Amino acid sequence: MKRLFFLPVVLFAAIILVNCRQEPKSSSDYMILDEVEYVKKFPQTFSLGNGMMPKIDIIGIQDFVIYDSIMIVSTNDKDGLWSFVSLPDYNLLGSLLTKGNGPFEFIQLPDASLGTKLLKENNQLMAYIQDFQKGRIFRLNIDKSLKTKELDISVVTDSIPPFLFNLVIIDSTDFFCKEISNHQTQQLRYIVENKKRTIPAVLQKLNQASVRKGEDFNILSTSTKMNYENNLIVEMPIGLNYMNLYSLDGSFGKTICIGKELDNIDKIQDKKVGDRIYTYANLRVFPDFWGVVSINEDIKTYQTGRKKLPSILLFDWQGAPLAELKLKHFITSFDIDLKNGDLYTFDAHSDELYKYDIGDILAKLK
Amino acid sequence: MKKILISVAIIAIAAVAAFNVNFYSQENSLAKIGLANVEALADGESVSGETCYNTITTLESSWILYCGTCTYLKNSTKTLTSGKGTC
Repeated sequence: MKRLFFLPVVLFAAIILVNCRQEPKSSSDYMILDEVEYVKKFPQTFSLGNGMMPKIDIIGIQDFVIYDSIMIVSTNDKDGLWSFVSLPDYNLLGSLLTKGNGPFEFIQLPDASLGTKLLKENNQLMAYIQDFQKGRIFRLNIDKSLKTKELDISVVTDSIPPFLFNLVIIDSTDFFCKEISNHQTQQLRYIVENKKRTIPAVLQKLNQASVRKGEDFNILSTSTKMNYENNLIVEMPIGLNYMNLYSLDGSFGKTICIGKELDNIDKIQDKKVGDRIYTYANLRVFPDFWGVVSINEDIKTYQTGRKKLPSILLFDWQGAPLAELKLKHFITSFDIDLKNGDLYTFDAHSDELYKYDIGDILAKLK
Repeated sequence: MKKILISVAIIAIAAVAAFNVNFYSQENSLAKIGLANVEALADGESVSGETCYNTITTLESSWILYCGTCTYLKNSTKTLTSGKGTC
């Protein structure tokens, strides 16, 4: 008789548990994929020393990126927004791109590391650059422009929307775009493929995340990059404790949460703005791994005087944690010269650029 | 007694199934809202009367509507003491 009484109760509990497991937290409060992996510890931790300040004669660095043995440094110098430096000898190779309203000029400084695709075409270093205010993409032949001292640039398209919150140039006709919704409560991802817009299922799922009307939409802001070898996209939010790694065709998708519990977007909005956490800054991708700068500091402290030293978190392309690099300086971005085994870090607040020899660490990641 | 218990079990299963149908239909609605928004923007619909901020500071991957230019600025956020305006 007792068994008969407990049978429906056990059945009911089992059904509820199975349901909770299948669709854990899919709603507007979580910008997540079906599979969530929690990272509580990194298999390797390295404490970096003081590093050294490389002698790069460029003032007003805003951003930098490394491709092969060239460092591209973006600055506010209106007559040369991008400067090119050879590594590891730091020879200034020249400066390109100007500020202005001309046909190949920029109103705002184009990011060297975000919204730009660097690649070699016919052994020439090329950059596909977003003009985000005018909705254009340029193709710049860097090698030829530096050699001839004349800008070798052309328009790839002038029909992408302006003011995109994220752009990933997949190739010359296909683009990943993210823009603010018209009520400013969502950030909407879609693909432009030969001028036609589609929203793959994986993007529809992430697009569901929303904030209340009038709230800070940057809770949903992410940096987005693509690995062109395996076609995986990684998104790093700036105010949530998890990252999303996925393929556009839906064959792979994983949310990687650093901690025990996923940040709830609704609960974040209940906090005062100054008490909200600035989680990650700066996403960089490499052939065998990717990494983010972990800030993990409340916005009030971050704006008035940072206290927590950041670290760089590295993951493989399956989303597994590889290593944590602990720093002795405040930084906001980083990149790695894989050819010479050097890590470079930059802090946008102090303008300090540091270099660390991490050849041994890179060998241990393999 | 056995019949009562079986009935309870059936009601429980039905309740969970009904919850699920409701849950998934909400999801589909949200996906449709997302698509509608993208299509609206694609048609060139502009947004007016947006709140902007007077004082900004650097914050990578953050965006802000800056009152000084009435344009979105990349890698910037409002300072905690910033005043508001409308563009």
